[in-house]
Amino acid sequence: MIKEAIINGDIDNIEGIVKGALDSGTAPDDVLGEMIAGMEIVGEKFEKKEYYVPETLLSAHTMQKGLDLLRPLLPYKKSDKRGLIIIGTVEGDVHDIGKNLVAMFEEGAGFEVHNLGRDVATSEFVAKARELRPDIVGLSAMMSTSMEKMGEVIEEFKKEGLRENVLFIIGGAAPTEEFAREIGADGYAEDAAKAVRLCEKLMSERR
Amino acid sequence: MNSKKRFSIAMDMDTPDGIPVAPMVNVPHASRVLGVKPWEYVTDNKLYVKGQIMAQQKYGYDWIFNHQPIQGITADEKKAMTRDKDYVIIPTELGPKIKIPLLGGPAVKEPALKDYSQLDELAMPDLDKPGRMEPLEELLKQTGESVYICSKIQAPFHYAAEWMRGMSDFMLDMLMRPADVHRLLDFMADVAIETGKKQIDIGTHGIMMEDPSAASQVISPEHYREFAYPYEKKVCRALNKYGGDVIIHICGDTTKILEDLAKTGAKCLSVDEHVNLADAMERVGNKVSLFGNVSVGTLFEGSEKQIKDNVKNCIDDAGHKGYIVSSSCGLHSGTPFENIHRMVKAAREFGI
Repeated sequence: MIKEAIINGDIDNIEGIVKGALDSGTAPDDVLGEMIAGMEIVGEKFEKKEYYVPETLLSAHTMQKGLDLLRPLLPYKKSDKRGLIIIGTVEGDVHDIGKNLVAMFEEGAGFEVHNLGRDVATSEFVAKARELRPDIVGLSAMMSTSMEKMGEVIEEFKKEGLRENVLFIIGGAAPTEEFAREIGADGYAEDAAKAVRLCEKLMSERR
Repeated sequence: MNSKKRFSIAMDMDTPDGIPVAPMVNVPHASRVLGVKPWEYVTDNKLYVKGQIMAQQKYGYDWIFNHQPIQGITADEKKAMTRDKDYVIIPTELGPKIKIPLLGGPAVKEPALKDYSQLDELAMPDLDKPGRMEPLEELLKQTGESVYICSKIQAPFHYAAEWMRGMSDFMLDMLMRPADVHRLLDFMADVAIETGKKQIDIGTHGIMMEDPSAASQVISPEHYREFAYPYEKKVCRALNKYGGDVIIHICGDTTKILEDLAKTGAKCLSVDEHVNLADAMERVGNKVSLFGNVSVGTLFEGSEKQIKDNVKNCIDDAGHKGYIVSSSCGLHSGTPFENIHRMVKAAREFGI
């Protein structure tokens, strides 16, 4: 039921459905599991072009609403999380749909995500990395013109002595796998569903 | 045959003395040709006109793309814009704030509508404000006899999604409050029609209507037919009636919606490199002319041979009738000058 509500983007009823499940004794962890399973199907539908951006966004927002109810009941310590991610669209680029989808998918998959927004200055990525000590930094660029900024962020992390502690993933319409290698990023993903798998892979390699 | 004539004949689905060539020279490229920062180019009508004419003369292509989304800048906008070291932010007449960065073209920094009740307060932009149509007037005066001048309008769907509401919210609105979305689209269609009519009054030769937000990577063909197509059609039909010729450009893969696009009333379709030109010509070539689709990636970093081959393949696929060689989209900011020379040269060589 919860899984279906996520897949169908039943944003008006998700709160009632989650509450109902909790009241009838379903463990919060299992509710979360259902929501993640739903988002996985949404990711598959997006990849198969059964879903486009509107449908996928609606499912992601539905999950967010469910998560808001669930969060106080999931007493995660930071160490239980799968990893901490900061993510943003680089400076000069104001596109953020894809990046927001990635953030919501990652959160749905159990990562702690701090979404820095769009048009994020290089200095802000650095400052947030110092403050939050993320495992992963996600950079997005929609336009080929702002792609160059991604390399600049990674260089700046090197200069500041922060590069060794984080994994960089990049995505967006402009960059490619090859470009990711060129600028020394740790990974590239083509869409939100693949970004989740990439982060899981990178984190397991790290351990 | 001069460029204007050559371009017009191809638009009319016929065969000119050679295939016209018309790369989409945008803010990043034209400002580099001129040697100024993008925001200097966008915020000074005289520099903008100079940049477009300089680029056309440098490369010798057949059109000028009068590509400013809000047309010329007015004195009010210049006064209200804020400037940083590397960029400017301009509040536009309908509300959205646009940012012109050091690299790249204008992008919407802040959409206008927080909610749909604000829609009732929106008024038609004043197209007679001094400066607004200055670029078009100047371009026509200086090169309008010999070069095809094509002026941009924003398609209702794109204007509503990216500029007025913001993409994320707009995408959800389509599913959750379609009636409001249609109200907004109706208003944006009126804006597009009035802007196009004004351009026709002044004497533009053609109109380029861009609808990148309606790309098939973003919305399904069903949603395209519900929210984008009816308004593209409304604008095209109104401008046709007024004596205008429209080219529609949508980025990305439009293969599934080509027949719809051909029924909008557009005279020509500008297609991205994801579309196969031979297939498109076969399916819609009897209704519209085609425009495209030399890869902007190849133009950015391809070799001389790759560019030449790409142009030749396009011409082999599309044929000589009703076809205009162009870039698949707006040029990447770092595109070398030499590569545009190569594109034009190849089009002249294989287009005869």
